[in-house]
Amino acid sequence: MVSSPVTPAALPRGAQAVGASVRGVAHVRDGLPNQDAFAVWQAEGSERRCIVVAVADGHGGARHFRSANGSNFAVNAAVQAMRRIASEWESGDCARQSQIASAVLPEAIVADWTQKVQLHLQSTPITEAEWRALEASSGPEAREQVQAEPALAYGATLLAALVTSTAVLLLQIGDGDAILVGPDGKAWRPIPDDERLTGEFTTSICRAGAQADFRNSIVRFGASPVSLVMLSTDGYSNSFRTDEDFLRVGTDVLQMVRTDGAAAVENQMPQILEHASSNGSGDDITVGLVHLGEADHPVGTAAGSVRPSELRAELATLRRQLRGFRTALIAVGVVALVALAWTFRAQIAALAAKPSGASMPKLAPLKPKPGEVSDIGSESIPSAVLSISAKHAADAVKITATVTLGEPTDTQCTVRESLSAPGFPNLGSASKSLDFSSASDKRTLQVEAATIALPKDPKERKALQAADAKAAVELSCSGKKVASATSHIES
Amino acid sequence: MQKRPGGTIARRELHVIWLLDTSGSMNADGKIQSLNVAIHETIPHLRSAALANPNVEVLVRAIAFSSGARWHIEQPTPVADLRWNDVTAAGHTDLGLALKLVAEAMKSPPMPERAVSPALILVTDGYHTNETDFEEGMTALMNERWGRQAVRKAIAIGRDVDIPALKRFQGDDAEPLQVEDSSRLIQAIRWTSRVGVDAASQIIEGGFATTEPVVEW
Repeated sequence: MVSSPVTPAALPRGAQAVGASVRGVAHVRDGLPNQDAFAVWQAEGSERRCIVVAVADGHGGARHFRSANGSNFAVNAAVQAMRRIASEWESGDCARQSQIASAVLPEAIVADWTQKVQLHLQSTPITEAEWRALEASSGPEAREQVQAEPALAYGATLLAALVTSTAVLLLQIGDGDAILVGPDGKAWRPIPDDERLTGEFTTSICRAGAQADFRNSIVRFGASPVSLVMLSTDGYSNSFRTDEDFLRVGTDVLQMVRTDGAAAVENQMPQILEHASSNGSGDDITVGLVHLGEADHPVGTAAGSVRPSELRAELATLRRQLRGFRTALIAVGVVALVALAWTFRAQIAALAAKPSGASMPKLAPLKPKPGEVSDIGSESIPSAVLSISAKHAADAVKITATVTLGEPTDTQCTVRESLSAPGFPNLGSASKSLDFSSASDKRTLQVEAATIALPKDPKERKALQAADAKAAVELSCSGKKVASATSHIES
Repeated sequence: MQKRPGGTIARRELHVIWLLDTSGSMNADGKIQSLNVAIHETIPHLRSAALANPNVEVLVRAIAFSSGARWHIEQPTPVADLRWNDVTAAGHTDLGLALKLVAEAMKSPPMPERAVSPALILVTDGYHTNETDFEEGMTALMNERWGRQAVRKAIAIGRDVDIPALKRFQGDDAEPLQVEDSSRLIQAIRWTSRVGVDAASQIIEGGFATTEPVVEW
């Protein structure tokens, strides 16, 4: 008998990932950037088959002076690797799934992270100023150590989850917390403890043989129903008096999602995390959540798990989209009529009456894509590493970026540099086309600096200074987003 | 008011425990006076270290050991409230009993589940009196998670000190700090006490680095 291939079922409608990351108060005090990173990937549309989410915590020690880059590379490596293997993982038998979890994914993630670090080192070599700062804080032996093993500068922990309709695969290296919450609100940690982790020491993706230090857990929904997956860097759990106090976060967040919806929780999350950092650990805190809906798993078909409230939300979205579509059609019709009338009255060529600007507006996606999705790449578009620096310059911020592709390309790419802050969603941006054929190695380009003027209004300027402004750079090739990076503004 | 998920949010506790040799030999050469002066002088430095790490609550205790071992400061005391009553010297060197006492304190509870690794600072000028007690004390300490994870530092006053035993206490091959006079003792106690506090702000070192700051002697 020949068995037909298994088609993975879609996740329940309403399944959604959200996340937030805040800079720790101790990092603000010490002038350190947010060294955590967060990335998520979820297919658009109703047939969403998997969600991937990752959080990483760049080490705080002086030797790890590029750990903010390292954590960013780690989450992107994890998201890419999990996304690529998702179908194979879900359709594989238990033995194959176990092999993917314990060997294939750790090896792929570490290899990709190492490559990203090497590319970054090539495009942005460690400066004498960085070496001097390291020596000043930790002595000449620290410099020798990093010179011998430059990846140390990028050290980070990593937590990642691949969520499908039947199971969740969790991977972890280093500290941090992966929490699952059942439909009854009960929260638990599925990943086994690592005895080597103590208050001041952790395993790390930067160490030789790091793939062996990954821990994993596969939780099948048939045996253990799950409503919420929560990944967080250790700054969050270290903010609670007891472990029980921390586990209650999972229970409470599930309740908040049920009551207010995932988008509302995502909006509240930065304030929640800032409060925890201020009154608790002082560390950066990053949380990634995947809400799996309620009737959940493994129902065989996606439709079987739709809740009435989710259905209502979906219908409301469709109605909004229909209204937008109707408005667009009316706009097209009106402009076309005006153009025709003008054509007859003026007796001039039809080309002159072309209804420019009357194209149908693009419909909004069903769900907003939360968080940063960086360095996704694809089979046809090479992966890339971006480095960005932003500095105050008189009444403006100067943003510079370096783009290094994983392999040479002739693909048409553009880079967009922008400046934003909470309450200031768009302070300015600049886009530039990149021609990699002009680069000597066909893959590395220094982007000309963009200068973005700060608001002239003193009140606005003061408010902006109090906000945590960020510069961002985004690389798109052939119309697809390939990579993005953010940076705080240096004074 | 915005709902905040989870239970009680709190700063992490950092427990500093001094294990002080108050045996009769500490009366020689004014060592016990130097020890008291050193502790007095260390307290302001600990306070400033604590202020520099506002997300950690520094709590101090002290054990005095001679013929037996007892808590000199039993309650974990916020460093801001710490007052030092001088210790006096007499009797033997029951280090093993002091280790058993600190091992009890390292149990969880009373130690919180979530804390910064404690700092245990041992100051002695000689050899422990009872080998069996020492072995049992070390075993009891190492059987506790917080005992294993503690930053353990030893200070030897003078040259006639059981260095191998102090290395076992520290759990590494590093030489214990050896001091010959009171000014060095003050420096040593100040430094070792700060090591644990500073460690709290040095979040992670990739699994292999030391928490020891670079200091000039």
